[in-house]
Amino acid sequence: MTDVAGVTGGQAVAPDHRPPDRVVVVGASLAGVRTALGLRRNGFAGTITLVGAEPWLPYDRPPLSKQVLLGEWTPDRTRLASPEQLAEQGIEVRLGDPAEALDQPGRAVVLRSGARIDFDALVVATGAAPRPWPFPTPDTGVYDLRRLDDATAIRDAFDTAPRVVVVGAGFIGTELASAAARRGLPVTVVEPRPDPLAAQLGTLAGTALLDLHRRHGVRFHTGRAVRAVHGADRVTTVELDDGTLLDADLVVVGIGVLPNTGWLRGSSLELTDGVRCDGTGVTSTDPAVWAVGDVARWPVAGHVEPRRVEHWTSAVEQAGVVAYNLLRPPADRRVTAQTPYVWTDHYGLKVQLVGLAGPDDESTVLHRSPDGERFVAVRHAGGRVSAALAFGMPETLPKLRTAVRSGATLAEATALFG
Amino acid sequence: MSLRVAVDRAHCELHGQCVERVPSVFRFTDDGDLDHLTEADDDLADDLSDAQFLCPAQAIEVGPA
Ligand SMILES: Cc1cc2nc3c(=O)[nH]c(=O)nc-3n(C[C@H](O)[C@H](O)[C@H](O)COP(=O)(O)OP(=O)(O)OC[C@H]3O[C@@H](n4cnc5c(N)ncnc54)[C@H](O)[C@@H]3O)c2cc1C
Ligand code: SF4
Repeated sequence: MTDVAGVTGGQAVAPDHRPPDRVVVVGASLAGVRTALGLRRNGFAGTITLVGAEPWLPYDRPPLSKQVLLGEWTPDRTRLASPEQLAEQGIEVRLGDPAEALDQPGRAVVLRSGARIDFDALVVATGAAPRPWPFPTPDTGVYDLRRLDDATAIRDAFDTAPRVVVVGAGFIGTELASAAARRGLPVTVVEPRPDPLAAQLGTLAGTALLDLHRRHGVRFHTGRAVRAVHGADRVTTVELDDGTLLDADLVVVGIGVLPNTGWLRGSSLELTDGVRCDGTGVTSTDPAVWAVGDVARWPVAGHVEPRRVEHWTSAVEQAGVVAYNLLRPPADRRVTAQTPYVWTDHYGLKVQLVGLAGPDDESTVLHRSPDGERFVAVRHAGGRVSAALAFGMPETLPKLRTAVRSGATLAEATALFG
Repeated sequence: MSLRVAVDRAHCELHGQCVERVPSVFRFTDDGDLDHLTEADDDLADDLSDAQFLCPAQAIEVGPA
């Protein structure tokens, strides 16, 4: 078995190599349901219990800020598994009853209802939740966007043609701005950083994306924080730290997420910014406990410390790896150091990012469309490519992946588009 | 011998996960469209199943030919 640089704590060795009979997966969303289905695909014949806090069967989140907000998809199109499929696969689903505690010595999960579910192996897939808003807000008109009911509530609120203020110009905030602007609504985005999206995309592509938004009428207040949100029970204005007052009927807050690890407090698991795992997906401290998706901190190619990657494909890849490894003795397990991939959609244009750039990595454009609107760029440091992005050019992605995976030099990456 | 491969073009969002995973079946054309074989060898069943899993648009269908 190969070892991944930077994974400390070594391989957790199970006392015996007996495969588990009872697997409990906590978190009934993308990473959780894909782990459960993956276990069956790998021939697991024991019991699988999938525990979810939300009342709905697993659904997909990326369409929430895209097709659902635009009214192009009804919520049922986002479903990740049908009740029939789950029943056929012998996956017992317990919804609307969150896990409240892990009884680690007793090898059981305790749910809010008081139910105890025993396990031989536990998969933590509880994802992440919006960072709480730091001060009080009116009861009506202020949303975050993580769950299905958030998306449908915002979509419905769009119908009354409100003035929209978005707090936070990350992927979710700007996708929301795109959806609102496409619905013809006036949109203002507030972002404390001077260069929105630069952290995610680099200054070059971040600026290009911001320009695209401006051409669609979205206004930005950058380098400004929100000081207060006013309104008795319904929001009326948003006050910025320079005293600017923005009229608002609908405020959406997208200021990042925090991993859902509260229910694991008191366990031996390492929980600083997510559950720490090695490249096989097992937690650093308990050989019977695994973690996948937004809640998990796995090794990432080219980086020393494991870190959370809040992307769709990471959740799916990790679920696949854990579904394979959990049934096997340590010596037969697969190790991954993932190459992150994320996409984001704005006004019908898709921006795709492969790899993970450092904050100071430079950007270089390798190729532009004849009209100059679409392009391919790489991020690089010390002459080596760390990440690559396609701005409205999905067909270039295979080449970009190759460049990032192989740690190409800038010259090699340039030659790919020569 | 073979499997039937179909992509629902109304759902496909050109993420290229399939091209990455099973390049012998899926490819991008020069003008950026997805192209794929409609039949594939049984040996590729696992790879195709991975591609189905990795497709963010859930657009790939694989069945007996
Ligand atoms: C609006 C939106 C748009 C996005 N767009 C993109 C995109 O374009 N591209 C991309 O790559 N990624 C995107 N993402 C990110 C992607 O959706 C996530 O990476 C993915 O959902 C992670 O899956 P997960 O299963 O790990 O976590 P989650 O989807 O967060 O699911 C965790 C589940 O666990 C449940 N849970 C929490 N605590 C408990 C508990 N104690 N007991 C039981 N259950 C619990 C939660 O209710 C939730 O259902 C987007 C996310 C959002 C919200
Ligand atoms: S992975 Fe899915 S969405 Fe992406 S190109 Fe292939 S079929 Fe289309």
